[in-house]
Amino acid sequence: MAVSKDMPILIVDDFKTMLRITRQMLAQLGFMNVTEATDGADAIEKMGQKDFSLIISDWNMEPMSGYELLKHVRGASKTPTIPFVMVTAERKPENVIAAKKAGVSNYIIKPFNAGTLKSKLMAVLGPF
Amino acid sequence: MNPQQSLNALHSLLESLLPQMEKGKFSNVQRHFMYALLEQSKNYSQVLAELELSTRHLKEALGETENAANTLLSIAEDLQRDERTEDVGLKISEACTFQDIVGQRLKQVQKTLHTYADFLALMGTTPSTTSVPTLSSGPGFTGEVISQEDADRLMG
Repeated sequence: MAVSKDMPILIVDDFKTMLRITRQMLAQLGFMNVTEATDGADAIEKMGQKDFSLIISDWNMEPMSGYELLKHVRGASKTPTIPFVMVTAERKPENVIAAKKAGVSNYIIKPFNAGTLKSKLMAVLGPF
Repeated sequence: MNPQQSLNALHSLLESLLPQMEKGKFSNVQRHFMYALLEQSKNYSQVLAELELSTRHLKEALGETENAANTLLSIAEDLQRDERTEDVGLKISEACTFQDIVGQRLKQVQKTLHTYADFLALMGTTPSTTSVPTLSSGPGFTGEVISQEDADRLMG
């Protein structure tokens, strides 16, 4: 199935700069329907207001981390299979393993570029 | 009673004994010991003041890197609107991810400083107010520094 560039995407990061960069990179890839959240709790609130087709989240946030958000998303009845990409500076193997066990769709290490973002999104969503 | 509460109680006890110490109610050895402990708590006050100052510097540094990154991102956005400079704009945006990494590291250091400051505060330490800022104490804090216009006015 072709990937719709209009798909609603939720990006979650506690650094406003990072939200802006991710939004810019997604725009570069043609994805314009982007909503921002500043931590896990904010993301859950936004997910209550709108259905998303993809979540791109940072790991290291307070009070609710991206890892906790991932577990919440996978445990919720509405979103158990929604593509969830973790974008993080956490580069320890145990983090990747924990995220994988919790059901993450892909894992991007910061700093990253638009090329990496595109290839990981294509791995999750299919070619576009 | 946990260790912090014990230290807190010891600090209060020493302070309450201070008038009696000064009236010579204790032996020399006891007095030396108590003065040494009180002196140490003064050192802690200085340490606490410095920890608080360092935390403020880190907070400022976080804000400054964020502002700088946002300025660069605005330039990058302008460049990305033009086909001829689109790639350069994207590269600048990608390079701006430094702010996130630097920010996360500074936040880790901030957390550590807070832990030590909280520990000292639990011991009953209050930050020293005796240190006088020198003329070479580095960049100041938002709201406490003057603008170029202020400097120009002062220069007459």
